Amino acid sequence: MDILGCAGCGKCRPAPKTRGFSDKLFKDNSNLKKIILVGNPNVGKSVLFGALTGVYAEVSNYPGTTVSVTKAKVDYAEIIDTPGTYSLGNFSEDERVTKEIIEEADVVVNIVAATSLERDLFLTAQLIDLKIPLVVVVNQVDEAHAGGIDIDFQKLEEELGCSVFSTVATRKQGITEVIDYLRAGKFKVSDKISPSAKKIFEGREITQKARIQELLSVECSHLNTKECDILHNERINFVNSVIRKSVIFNAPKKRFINGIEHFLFNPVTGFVTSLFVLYLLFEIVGVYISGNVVDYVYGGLEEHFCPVLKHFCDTVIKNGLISEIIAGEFGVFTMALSIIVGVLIPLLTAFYIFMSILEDSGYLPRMSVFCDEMLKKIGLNGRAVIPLILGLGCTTMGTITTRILPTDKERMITTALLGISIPCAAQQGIIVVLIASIGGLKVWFMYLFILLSVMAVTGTLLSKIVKGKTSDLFISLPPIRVPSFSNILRKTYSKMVSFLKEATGFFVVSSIIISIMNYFGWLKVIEKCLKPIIVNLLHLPGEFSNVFIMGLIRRDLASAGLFEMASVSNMTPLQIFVAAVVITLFVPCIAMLIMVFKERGIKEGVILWLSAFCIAIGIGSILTRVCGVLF
Amino acid sequence: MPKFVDKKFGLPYNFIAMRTLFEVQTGETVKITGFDPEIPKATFTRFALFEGQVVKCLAKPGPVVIKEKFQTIAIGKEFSKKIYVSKGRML
Repeated sequence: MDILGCAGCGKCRPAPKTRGFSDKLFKDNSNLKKIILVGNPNVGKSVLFGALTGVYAEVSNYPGTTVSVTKAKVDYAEIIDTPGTYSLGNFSEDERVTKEIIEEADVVVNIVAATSLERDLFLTAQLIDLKIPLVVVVNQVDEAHAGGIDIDFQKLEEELGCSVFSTVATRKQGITEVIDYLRAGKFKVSDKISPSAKKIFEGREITQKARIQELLSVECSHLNTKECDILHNERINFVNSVIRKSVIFNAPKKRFINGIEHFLFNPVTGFVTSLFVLYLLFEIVGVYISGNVVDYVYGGLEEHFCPVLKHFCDTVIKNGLISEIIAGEFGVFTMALSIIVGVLIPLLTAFYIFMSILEDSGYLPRMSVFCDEMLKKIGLNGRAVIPLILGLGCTTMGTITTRILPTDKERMITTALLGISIPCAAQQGIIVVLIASIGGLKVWFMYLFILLSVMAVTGTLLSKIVKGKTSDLFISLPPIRVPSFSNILRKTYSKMVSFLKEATGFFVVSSIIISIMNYFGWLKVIEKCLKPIIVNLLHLPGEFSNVFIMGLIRRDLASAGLFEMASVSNMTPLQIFVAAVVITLFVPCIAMLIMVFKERGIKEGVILWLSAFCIAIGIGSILTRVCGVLF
Repeated sequence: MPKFVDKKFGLPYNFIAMRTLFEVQTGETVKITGFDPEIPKATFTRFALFEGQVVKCLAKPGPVVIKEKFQTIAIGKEFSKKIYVSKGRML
């Protein structure tokens, strides 16, 4: 168990600084008042941020969705959304960053979930002690009501000594009142300060920043001092008293959805559910979408659009190089844009919808609990499931999400696993289609088995090599919810837009470069140079070197290249399978590599890149010799 | 020396009358009586776990999954061995 020190007292080990956080983000010279949204993880800060500003911040049903600071300007203020935090200044980078933002705040909007009031009010008690203008927004009151919890808001306001609003942010209930209040700007500072905090600052008027730092140095969790203990006990008593006076517990309404909890935690049914989720992913993306939508759109483009474009280039442009770039084998329109429009957009839309349902239902944190024992064997705890699963959407995003992991060792191992054995959504979509065409479900599970084995071996080795401790699991599980249809669509749209913005440029530029190389015959030279690896080691066609080059830029581009190659050349099922595994395990894409440099440093990034390359070639050359009997 | 002795305190179990959360059976309701002093108390209070809190063990798929009045929490094996409990009744 690794217990981190605080960031306030200066006596104990500070929480490790994650390189990815930008300290400058929230420090500007704007004259607008700064409204900071602060709250425990998964209470609905990002939904409220979206409702207050109109800016979409990703919303999901698991703790740690927001891993960076988001801000937006409205006519009356600058509103800043922060990562979820249980307290200020202690334990993690999120808490340190939130503390620093609060130091600059004009008013803090503390969002608490009505379903976990007892936990969330501890942070409120700490904020009250800081003596800053405070507004409390009690969100998710509909779910609390369904769970038999009734809150007397007038009483709660009296007890907390500051303005309290009740909201159901997902349905925009109560938002107008919050906006009106924030716009009016008449904020209250609660006088319900704990006796210990009162004693510390008695007779002294100091700045907000100094007050925060002084208070945090007293309640440094690492020291476990008597003063700290007294302060905590006072807050416990305060929270208990507030709840006793303002909350009524009734018998919860029986909901079918609550029974699912037991089902998911059962070792047998939980495992079967995980397999069923993978099966559904294969059926929806690999069979239904690829069999219908991709065949129709991509097939249509190949059959009708590409020949017309080629004919146009041959008869009108009549310039070999430009024709090659526009409509050649690797042309901008015939390869890059055809693949994006015909393959990636339909596959990714389906994949992101599927992932959004998993994220919003609350299944991911339960999977964390279920996988905890397994992940411990590779030096991680169950929480690592969240970045790993998000990595299935985008490995770059997964790398950023490693910030939710408490120790450096866990962050390092998870980043390595993301870089080596986790395929991103775009890549996975294409690979599922390829695998569906060569052997169906059996080959899909074999492919997964190989990835899991690589993950297990890499993780086990790293857990032995990397110094440091693995933290123990300690997470609050969000309620299981029926995902909101509108949020799924918004999230899918937002992810698709960000993918297209990032990937289209790469695809177009790469296709121009490769077309030029092809036109001047340089690809043949590279093919010759790579022959010992591709032909002799991997037993793949020499043209696979083109896919190799694409893979150096982006993995999904390599998958697209393989898709194109498999549809025109005579690759055997074994060759397609080996190629799919090799490009899955191949080097991280440029975007992820930059993120690894930022989060982990250049040295680790380079080691990861080289390791991924060697592992991909090594596994590929073994498979090509061993798996022949299976096809 | 009595037969069942707690290694840490050197006292018989019935004297201490204390178990850890790790030993609790699924479905059992217990009251938190204390925490290992080696671990900062804030680790637990930030999840609203404090002395006197009554919790129910929902499942033990490795970590211990408990439910208190408001929320469900999953606590890893090592942490659950640091939380002392006695028999309790859900309020």
